[in-house]
Amino acid sequence: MLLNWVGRCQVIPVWPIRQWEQVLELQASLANIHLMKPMNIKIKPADRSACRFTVEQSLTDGEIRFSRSMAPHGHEMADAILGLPGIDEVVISGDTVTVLKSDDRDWRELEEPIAYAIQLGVAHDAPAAAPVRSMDLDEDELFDQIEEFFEREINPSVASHSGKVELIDIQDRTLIVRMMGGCQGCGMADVTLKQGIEGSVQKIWPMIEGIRDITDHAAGSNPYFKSDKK
Amino acid sequence: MTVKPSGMPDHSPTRPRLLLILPTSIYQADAYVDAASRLDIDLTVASELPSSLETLQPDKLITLDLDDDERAAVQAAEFAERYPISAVVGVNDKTSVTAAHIADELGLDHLSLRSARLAASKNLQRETLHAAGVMVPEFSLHHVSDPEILSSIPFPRIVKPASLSASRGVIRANDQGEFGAAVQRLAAIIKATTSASGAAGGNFLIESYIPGVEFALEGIVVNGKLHTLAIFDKPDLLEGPFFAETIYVTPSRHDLETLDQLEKCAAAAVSALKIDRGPVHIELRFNDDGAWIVELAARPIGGKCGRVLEFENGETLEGLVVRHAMGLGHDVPRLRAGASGVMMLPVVKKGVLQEIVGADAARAVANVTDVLITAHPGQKLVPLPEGSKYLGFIFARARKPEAVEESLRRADKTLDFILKD
Repeated sequence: MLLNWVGRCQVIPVWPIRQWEQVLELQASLANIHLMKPMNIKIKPADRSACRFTVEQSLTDGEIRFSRSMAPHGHEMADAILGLPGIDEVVISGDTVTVLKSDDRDWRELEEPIAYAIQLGVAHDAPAAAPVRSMDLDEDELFDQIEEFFEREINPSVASHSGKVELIDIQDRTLIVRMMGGCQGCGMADVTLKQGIEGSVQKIWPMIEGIRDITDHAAGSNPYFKSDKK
Repeated sequence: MTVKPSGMPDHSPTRPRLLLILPTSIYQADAYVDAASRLDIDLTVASELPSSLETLQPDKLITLDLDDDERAAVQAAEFAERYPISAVVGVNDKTSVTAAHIADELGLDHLSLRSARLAASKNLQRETLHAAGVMVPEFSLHHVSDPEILSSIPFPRIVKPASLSASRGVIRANDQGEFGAAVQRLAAIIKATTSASGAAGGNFLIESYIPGVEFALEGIVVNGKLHTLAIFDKPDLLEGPFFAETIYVTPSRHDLETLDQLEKCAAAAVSALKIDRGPVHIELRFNDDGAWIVELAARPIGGKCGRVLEFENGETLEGLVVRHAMGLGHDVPRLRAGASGVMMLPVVKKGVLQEIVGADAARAVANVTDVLITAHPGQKLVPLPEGSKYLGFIFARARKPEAVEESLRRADKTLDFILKD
């Protein structure tokens, strides 16, 4: 028996291979599946959209978030789960993997393949526990990657508000940025930075701790959103 | 208070989520986002127009129809199916009502929709307060097309739109001639600022003018009890014809008996409107008859002025509001010792802003802690009563309120806003 599940359902899984095609495809390199140790996974659906899978060991020190829109992440466990139909996000925090979906499918249909993907990920321990983009990245390499992300993902969107955001530096895990065009002096600049850019970057580079804006907003001559009093 | 460790991404389905309604015209966006980020919560910012990064961060940024509260509530409920919401906060008069609608739809603990509506409606609020024995200006509700408003009325009188804030459209009239001109001017302001479909868009109040000293009381209500955070003196006389806010200084330099009457009046108003939780910002006047409520809003002070309030525990006003809304403790911190104040810089002349001179000199004035210029070069500036924007804010802190006021005035004198007609 590979898995002992506790919680709402306790089953001895009989693997319906077709259902696992996607997982197996992503895990093609796993030749030693038979060597995996038995594992208890506690399954607790929170509601229709979220379900928590808790294992008996810590998977990560902090919290790592993976979304379908950004996949593949190069993270074995997360990519395997996101490869399942209907799954939108995977959040790994401590000993818990929280899976989010938006369709009406019953969690019972997904518990087995998700638990299996977790089992596989844990079996490959190191990649499961580490963020996709390692903390060991060279600073220049990290800067280049995030700068490229700005050009590919952030600035095309910000351009719709006549704005642009430039990555100036990374200091102490903090992005130093300057906003231009419609972003300079914009009343919602901070929302764009904290809610939009910081979160997007942290999805991929969880080691980034924050964002600092060095823009002279007072000099902005054409802000997209202009502040009022109340 | 639960504080988030640094370096953690802002999302977890296990954390409570705040839906923060931030209209794109708001000054305090940074303060609220910063406040939420200091707590161990997930934050979703809702605005009336889409953020450019909404598709990239669908759990953090959403667009709501803020012109239609019922529709906004449905939109928020759809969002909440995917990302459960624990609390909703509106940051100004209008969005505090929207927040109450959404909370009602989602079944969240929140200020009741009825109380939020009473607080946001100038005429309903005055009716309720008057009925409860709270002193408010005599008033009557009219529509700009109403011919009866030209009939004989005692003077001086104040005309003010039913739906605008920030002293916009508020005009004092001392005689029949001024009154006719004021109503005409107000009608144009209302027409320019409200949608044609808004049934109450043309409504305005005619109020008695209450002579006296003006104050502002900032408070937070917990379980129906008003906790005063600060009482601000407004040392500049506000006698009209327009009512531009300028200096706020706390603590008040008035005697304890006056302050006690102000607090009792404010508490009675809060009770009459059945405001049982959340922030309140109350404008009061005081004269020989006692304390009068001029305005009451179920939201914190506007603009950047909240920065004046520095609490002993390091919390900001916005942080306090968010923490209470999220139910993460209902203690009320004390203000730091000393005096603090803000000077709002009203637009005094119409024109296009070309250059701002003297900001660094203003910052260098003793006791001045910051000068924030919110107007930008190229901006069309419109003074009251038609305009509502401020040029910026000067902040000062000192041991005594007199020193704060003096520093604010000195810093203001160094600033020059160069306009082009």
